[in-house]
Amino acid sequence: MMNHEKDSRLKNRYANLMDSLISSINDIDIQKMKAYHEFFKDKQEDLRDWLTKELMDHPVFGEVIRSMPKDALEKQWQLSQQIQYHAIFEGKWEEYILHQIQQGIQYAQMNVSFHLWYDVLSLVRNRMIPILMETSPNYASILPILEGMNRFYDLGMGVMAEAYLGEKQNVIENQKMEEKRINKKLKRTLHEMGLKNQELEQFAYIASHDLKEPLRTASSFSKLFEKKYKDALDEKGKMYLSHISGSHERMITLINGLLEYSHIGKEGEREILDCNRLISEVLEDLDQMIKENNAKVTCEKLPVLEGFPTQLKLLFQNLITNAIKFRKKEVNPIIDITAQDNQNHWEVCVRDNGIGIEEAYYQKIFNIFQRLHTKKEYNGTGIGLAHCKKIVELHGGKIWVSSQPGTGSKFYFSIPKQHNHDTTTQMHSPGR
Amino acid sequence: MTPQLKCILLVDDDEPTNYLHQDVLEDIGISKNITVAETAAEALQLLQRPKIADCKVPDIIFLDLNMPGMNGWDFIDEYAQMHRAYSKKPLIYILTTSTNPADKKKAEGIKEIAGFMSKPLTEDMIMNMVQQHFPD
Repeated sequence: MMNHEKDSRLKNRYANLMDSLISSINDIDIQKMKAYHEFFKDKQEDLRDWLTKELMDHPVFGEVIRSMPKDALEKQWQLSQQIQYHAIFEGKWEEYILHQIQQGIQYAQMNVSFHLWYDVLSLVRNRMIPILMETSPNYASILPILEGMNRFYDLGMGVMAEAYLGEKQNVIENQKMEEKRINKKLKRTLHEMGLKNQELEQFAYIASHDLKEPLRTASSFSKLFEKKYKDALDEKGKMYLSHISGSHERMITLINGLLEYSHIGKEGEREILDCNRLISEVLEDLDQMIKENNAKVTCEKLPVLEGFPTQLKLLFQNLITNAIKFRKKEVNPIIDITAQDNQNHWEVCVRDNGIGIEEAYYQKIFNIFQRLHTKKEYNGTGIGLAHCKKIVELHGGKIWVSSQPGTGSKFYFSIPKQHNHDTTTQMHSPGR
Repeated sequence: MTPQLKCILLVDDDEPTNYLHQDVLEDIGISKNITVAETAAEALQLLQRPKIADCKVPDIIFLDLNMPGMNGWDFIDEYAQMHRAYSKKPLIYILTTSTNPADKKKAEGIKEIAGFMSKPLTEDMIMNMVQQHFPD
């Protein structure tokens, strides 16, 4: 797994660490460690079987041990014993410390908590003490062995911890670099998207604008024709003409709707808005429609929230207009606007007693140009609810409907209390 | 030259379009009856309870795809179920402003559909159709 180049890099990286550690080991330490190692060697069969059994139940190590072939486990155990022996008895600490460093790095790369490794050591200690007590009732002879063990493991674990932390830092730095790279890419993509969006808007605007021009000319001439030659036409001729101007008007309405729809989010800044005030303004604007339809609009105390004033007003206006428009013929429209505080967002509901919508169309109605009725039944462009959806999404919310045909509809929309600044700048900056 | 069909049904939500198509068909004098439905639902109703006996199973149905509520595809689904028992079947022609190739492909895969044409209906289109399906 580790090549020589990497080995030497590690050696350099931890040269200072090794020097200071090795120089901190004195003769008494060595004697105690020797005592520990002798004892450990004698009892290793017993210790090893017990330890393996204990580790089998461990949530992390259990899996590692089970996945390893038995002879590989055996080899690793032997190797670690050998390295221990060479270090303590022959002073070959470099090899031992490098081994510890590698293990630390391995754990850091696997993102395994360092404590887990420490837990294993605690297991060894816990097992050592009762065995020590059994074999030697003499406290004075046990103590150096225990101290030797502690010193030996502290040394090893100290190195391992340093390596772990160093590598962890490395991993984090790599992750940061990766994040930076991704962020840069994201920024570039967003910028490109902004440009594309701008192009598209310009296209929609220019197309609509250019379409309007010949349309207006055609419409003007057909009006002129009607004025000057209507009397010369028979009934069929008059009918043709009426269809011509009717289609012209419809086209102009559609183009204007499309222009407005493609321009959502291009004006104004977010403001703190009192929905109660917004609604009263909307109701003033719709006064005539409300009176003509004998509609009754009530609203509960509505929230104060952050949003785009023109757009939110348009949202309420569209929903209320729809509620009145799709009324039942024989029943006066009753519209009730309520709001609910749902922790991190507001949920607003516009309820009516109109004709309602079948469940099959709950989603479809929010698509642009999707209509459920003929122009004769209910005139319209099929842009209104698509517009509403776009406005709600501009605010980071959702819109949906629940309804029963013949009973009425409830249009809900949610507006988050805290908006994500990044997405809004994204949505806005290209247009300005 | 032109055969005398008994009934043609026009299904389109746009009133001027229906008017125009009706006008063209009347000028050619191809069919005794021309009935118009402005929604797919209305068309189904007309087929179930025809005002004219000849229109119980029309010779041709010209069908728009993009209609409010139930669209042209929905109509074909419903109609296929409704008329499974009938031996005589009308020719269904899709008549649409859609330039979407996916729509055309979809139409080709539906056996009830006799053809896919672009609005508006013209005399040439009708004559071609007649030659193909009513040669005598």
